[in-house]
Amino acid sequence: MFHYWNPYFLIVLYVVLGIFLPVASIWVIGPILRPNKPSEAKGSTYESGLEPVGDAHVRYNARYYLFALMFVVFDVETLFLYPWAVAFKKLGMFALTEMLIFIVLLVIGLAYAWRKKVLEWT
Amino acid sequence: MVQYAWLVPFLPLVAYVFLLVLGRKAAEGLVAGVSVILTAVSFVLSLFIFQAVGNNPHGNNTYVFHWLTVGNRVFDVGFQVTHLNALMLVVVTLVSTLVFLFSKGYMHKDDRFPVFYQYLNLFVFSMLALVISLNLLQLYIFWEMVGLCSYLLVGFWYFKPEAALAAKKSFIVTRIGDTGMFAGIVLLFLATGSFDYSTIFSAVAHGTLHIGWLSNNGVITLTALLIFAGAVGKSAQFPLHVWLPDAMEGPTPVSALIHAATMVAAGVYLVARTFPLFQASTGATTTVAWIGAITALMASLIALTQRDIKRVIAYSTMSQLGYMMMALGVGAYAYGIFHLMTHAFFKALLFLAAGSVIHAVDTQDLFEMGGLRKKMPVTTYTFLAGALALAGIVPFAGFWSKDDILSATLQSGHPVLYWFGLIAAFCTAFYIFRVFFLTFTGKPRVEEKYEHAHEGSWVMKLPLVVLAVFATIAGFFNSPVNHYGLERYLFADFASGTAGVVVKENVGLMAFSVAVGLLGILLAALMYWRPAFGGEKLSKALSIPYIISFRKFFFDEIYTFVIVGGGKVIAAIVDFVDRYIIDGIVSLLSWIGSVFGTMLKYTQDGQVQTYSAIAAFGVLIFIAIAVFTVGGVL
Amino acid sequence: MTTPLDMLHQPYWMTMGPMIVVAATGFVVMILEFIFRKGDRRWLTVLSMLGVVAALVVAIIHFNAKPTFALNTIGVDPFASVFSVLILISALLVLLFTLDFSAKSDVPAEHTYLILFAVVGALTMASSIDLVTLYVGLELLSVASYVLVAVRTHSIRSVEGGIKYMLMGALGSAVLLYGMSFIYGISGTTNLMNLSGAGLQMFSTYPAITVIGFLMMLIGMGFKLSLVPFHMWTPDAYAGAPTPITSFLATLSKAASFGMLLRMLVFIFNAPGAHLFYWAGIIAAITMIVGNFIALPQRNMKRLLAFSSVAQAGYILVPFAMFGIAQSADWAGLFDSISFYLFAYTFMTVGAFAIVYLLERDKGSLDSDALIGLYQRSPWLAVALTIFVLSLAGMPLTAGFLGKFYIFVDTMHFSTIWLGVILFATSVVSFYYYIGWLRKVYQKEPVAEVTALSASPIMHTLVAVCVIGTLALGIVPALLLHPLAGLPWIYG
Repeated sequence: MFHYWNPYFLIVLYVVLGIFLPVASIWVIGPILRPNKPSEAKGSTYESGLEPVGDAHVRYNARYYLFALMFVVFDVETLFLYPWAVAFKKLGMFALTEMLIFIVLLVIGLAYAWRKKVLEWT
Repeated sequence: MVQYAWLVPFLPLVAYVFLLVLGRKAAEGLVAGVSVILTAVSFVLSLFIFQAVGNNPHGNNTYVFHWLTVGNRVFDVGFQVTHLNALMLVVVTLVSTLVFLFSKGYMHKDDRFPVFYQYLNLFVFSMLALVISLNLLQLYIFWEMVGLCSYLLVGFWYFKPEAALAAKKSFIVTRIGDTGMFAGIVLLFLATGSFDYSTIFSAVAHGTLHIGWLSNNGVITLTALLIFAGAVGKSAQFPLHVWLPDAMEGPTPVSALIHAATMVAAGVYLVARTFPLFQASTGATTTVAWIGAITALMASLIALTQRDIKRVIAYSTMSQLGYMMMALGVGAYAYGIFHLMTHAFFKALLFLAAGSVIHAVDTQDLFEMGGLRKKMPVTTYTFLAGALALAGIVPFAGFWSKDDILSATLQSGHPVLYWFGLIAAFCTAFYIFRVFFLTFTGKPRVEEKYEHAHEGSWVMKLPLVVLAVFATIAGFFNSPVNHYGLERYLFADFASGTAGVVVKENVGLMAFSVAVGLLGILLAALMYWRPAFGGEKLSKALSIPYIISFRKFFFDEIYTFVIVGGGKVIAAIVDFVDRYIIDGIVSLLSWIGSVFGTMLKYTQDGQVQTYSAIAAFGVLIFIAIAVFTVGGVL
Repeated sequence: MTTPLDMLHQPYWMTMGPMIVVAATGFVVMILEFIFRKGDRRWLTVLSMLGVVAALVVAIIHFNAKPTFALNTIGVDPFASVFSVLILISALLVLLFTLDFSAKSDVPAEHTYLILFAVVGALTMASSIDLVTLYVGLELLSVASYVLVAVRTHSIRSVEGGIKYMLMGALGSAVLLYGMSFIYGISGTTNLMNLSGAGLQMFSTYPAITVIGFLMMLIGMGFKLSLVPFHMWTPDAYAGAPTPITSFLATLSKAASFGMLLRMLVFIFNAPGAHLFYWAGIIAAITMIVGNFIALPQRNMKRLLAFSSVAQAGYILVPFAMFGIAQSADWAGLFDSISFYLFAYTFMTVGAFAIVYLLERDKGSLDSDALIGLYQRSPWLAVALTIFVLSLAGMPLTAGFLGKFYIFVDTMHFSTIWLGVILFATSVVSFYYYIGWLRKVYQKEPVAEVTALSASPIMHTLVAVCVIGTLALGIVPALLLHPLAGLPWIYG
C-alpha cells in the first residue's frame, strides 16, 4: 500500500515544502531577522542606479518591437548556422543547399524590412 | 405518346424561363398569353397521354435515366405515368390553364404582374414534375419546390404584414411535416436500398423490409406514418392545418390553384401513390382514416361561423381533403382520387367565383356583400353550381364522389367515421349556402360597394363557365352512366385489377345523404335568404311562405339554441384549440428558439477574457468527463 | 555525398510540388511588391493567381500518384491530393475576391503574399504525416491569418478582431501541442505512419492519457474550426476582417484545418476508435445546436454568416463521429462525405460573402436591412444570393443539400440516428434565419428611386463561378464524386 502511494506522497511533500519555504522566508522569518531602517531611496524602484522618472505604465514606441523582432530573427539565424558550421563536412551538399535557401529567405526578409523603412528611426 | 409525358411539365418551365427573360416590364397580354397557351398545350398533351395510358394499361410507362452511382448507392431520375398520374396531369393542367386565364383579369394592373406569372409557371412545372416523379427522392425535391412556390405566392403581396407572416407560417408548418416525410423516405431507402416505388412495393409485398433495429412490420408502419406526416402538412390536416386559412392572404387565383385544386391535394396524392405501403399496415390506415374524419368534421364546424368568404372556402377545402384522406384510410382508393378530381373542379370554381366577387366589391367580409345576383349573374350561377356540387346534391359532381366515400366508409365497417362524414356533409351544405345567400341574395348591405360592383371581363367569366360545366358533369365520369369508368381506369395500376373497397350501389344511402345535404341548404335558406322576400308583408300575404316563415323562426330558435348554440360552442372550442393550443405550440416553439438564441447572444460579450475563460472551462469539462468515463488514472 | 543534381532525382517535385510553387510565387511577389511601389498594383494579385494555378496543375498531375513521402514527412497520397486541390481552388476564389478589393481600398498590398504563405501552410497541413510538420504548417497558416485579419490597420474593429483571433488561436495551439506531446510521450514517435499501428496498444496501456491526447488534439483544432464552446472569437474576427479575408478564414483555413484534424485523428486513433470518436459527435451536436440558435437574433450579416459557419463546421464534424463505428472498409464513404461538403461549402460561402461585400461597400453598413430591395437593384445578384443562401440552408438541387444529405445518410447507415436527427432539426432552425434574408432580398425598397447595385466584372465573375459551382455540385454531384469514388483513402 505504502509502495503504491509513495510517489504521490512525495508529490504532496514537494507541494507542502514549496509553499512553506517562501512563505516562511518572506513573511515570517525574514521580518524577524532583518534590521528595519527604511529610507526614501531604499523604497524607490530599482533602476540600476538611475533615478526612476514617471510611471512604469507608459506606451513604448512601436519601433522597439520591430527592432526586437528583427533581432530575434537574426539571433535565431546564428543559432541555426552555428551547429551547421561545426558539422559542415559531415552534412555535405544537401545541408549547404538548405542553408543557402534559408539565408536567401532571411535576406529577402531583411530587404523587405529595409524597404518598408523599419530600420529608420525617424 | 406516353414517352412525351416529360413535355407536360417542361412547357410551363419553358414559359417560366421565357417570362424571366422578358423581365418585369413585359406587357400583361404577352405574359398571360404565353402562359395560357403553353399550359393549354400541356393540357391537350395530358389528354392524349390519359387516353394512351388507358388504351394500353400494361405497357411500359416508366422512363428511367441513370443519374449517378456513388459506391453502392444508385440514383435514377426519370418519369413514370401510371393511371393515377395521368389523371392528375389532366386535372392539374386543366385547372392551371383556367386559373392562368382568370388571373389575367384578376391581377390586372398589379405592379408585379409578370412576376406573378413567373411564380405560377414555376409552381405548375414543379407540381406536374412531382406528379410524374419516378421515385420518392425526386418527388421530395419537387415537393419542396411546390412548397417554395407556395411560400412565394402566399407572400406575393409581401407589403401586407399579414401576407408576409402567413407565407412564413405556411412554409414553416409544412416543413414540420416534411421533416417526418424525409425521414420516412430515408428509412425506406435504408431498408430497400432504393427510392423507387416499384422496388419498395415489392419489398412490402415480400415482407423484406428490415433495418437493424426494426422488424418488417415496424418499418412499414413507421415509414407509412412518417410519410403521412408530410401529407398531413401539405394537405393541411389536423393538427398541421393551421397554415391553410392564413395562406388565404395570397391572391385569390393562387388560393384556387394551389390551396384548393393542386398543391394541397399533393398530400392525398402521396398517400394514394404509396397506397400499397399504407395497406400493409392497419395502424397506418386507421390513423389516416381518423385524421381525415376529424379534419373533415372539425373544419366544417369552424366554417359555420366564419365571416371572411375566402376563409369559409379554405376551411371547406380542409374538410374536403379530410374526406379524401378518410377515403384512403378506409381503403376506398378510387373514391378518394375521384373526389380529389371533382373537388379540384368545384373548389377551383368556388374560389375563382369568390375572387370575382372580391374583385368586384373589394371586400372579403360576407356581411358587407349581398344582392350581387343582379349585378353579377354569371358569377352567381356558376357559384351556385359549385355550391351544389360541394353540398353533394344530385346530379352535381360532388354528389357522386362524396356519396361513394360515405358508402365506402359504411360498407367497409366504419359506422363512426360514416357519421362523422355525414355530420360534416350537413354542415358543408349549410355553410356554403350561407355564403351563397349572404353574397348573392337579399339586399345590399353596403351600398357604395354594391354600386361599384360589376362582372369581370371575359377572361374572368370564361374559366368560371368552363369550371361550372365540369362541376356539374364531372361526377358522371364514375357513375352507372359509364359503368364506373374512372374506377376501372384507376384500378389498372394494380396487378390484381382492384384495390381496397369497391362500393355496391345503394339507392337508399344515396337518397339519405342527398336529403342531409338538402336539409343543410334548407336551413341556410331559412336563416339567410328570407329577407329577400321583402319582410313581413310579403310573408303575411302568402300563407305558405308565412308558415315557412313561421317555421323559419321556429327553426331559427332551435337552431340558435341547439345547433348554432351547440355548434358555436363546439366551433368555439375547436377554434380555441386551434388558435391557442395548436397555434400556441407552434408559436411557443419559435419563441423558445428566439429566446434561446438571444440568451446565447449575451454570452458573446466581446471580452476576450470571457472567451478564453469559457474555452478553458470547456477544455476542462470535456477532459474531466472523458477521463472519468475511461478510467485508468488512479 | 549528395549533390544538387541528386536532389532533382528525389521525388521532391512530386511530394512538395504545389508547396514549392506557391512559396516561390509568394517570395517573388513580395520582392516585386517592394520594388514596384507606384501605381495600380493589382497585377501582383494576378501573378499570385497564376502561381496558384500552376500549383493546381502540379497537384492535379500527381492526383492519382502512388503514396510517396519525402523524408517520411511530407508527400502525396489521395488524402493530400484531394485537400490540396480543395485548398488551391479556394485560394483562387479568395485571390479573385481580393483582386477587386485591393483596387478600391486602402489595404496594404501585403495581403496578397500573406495569403500565399498561408496557402503554403495549408498545403503542409494537408500533405504532412508528421505531427511536428503538421503543427508548423498550422502555425504558418495561423500567423498569416492573424495578420490578415488585422491588415486594415486603420480600422479598430479589424485590429481588435486580429488580436482576439491571435489570443484564442494561441490558446488553441497550446492545447493542440499539449495533446500532441501526450501522444509523443506514450508512443515515442511523432510520425503518423508509425503511430497508426500503435493506437490500440497505447489505449490499452494508458487509456486516460490517450483520451486526453485525442481530446486535446480535437479541441486544439476546434479553436481553429470554431467548434462550440471554442468559437467565441469567430464573429469578432469575421466581422472585423475585410470581407475577402473573412471568406478566406471561412473556407481555406477551415478546409485545411479539417484536413489536418481528419488526418491526425484517423491515423493515430483508428484502432481504439470506438472509445474515442463519439466525442467528435458530442462536440458536433453542441456546435450545431448553439451555432444555429445563436444565429437567430443576429442582424449583422457577417456575424450571421460567422455563426452559420460555426454551425456548418458542426455538420462537417458529424461524419468524424462515425469513424469509431464504421469498419475501415466503409471509411471511404465518410471521407467522400466530408470532402464533398467542404467543396460545396467553399463555393456557397465565398459566393455569399462576395455579395455581402458588395452590399457593405455600397451601403457602408452590415445590417441585414442592406439586403432590402436587392432584387430590384440587381436581379442577377439577388438570384445568386438566393442560391447561396438556400444551399447553406440545404435546399434540394443545390450542393449544400447533397452535402447534408450524404452526411445524414451516413448517420443512418451507422445507426447514429440521434446525430442525424439533430442535424436535421437544427437545419430546420437555420431555415428560419436564411429565409429572413430572402424575405428582405425580395422586399421592395422604400425609396422610389432605385439605384442599380454596381459591381465590377471581377465580382460578377466570382459570383458566377460560385453559382456554377454550387448548382453543378447540386445537380450533377458525379462531377466530384466520380473522381473521389475510386480513391484508396486508406492504404498500407
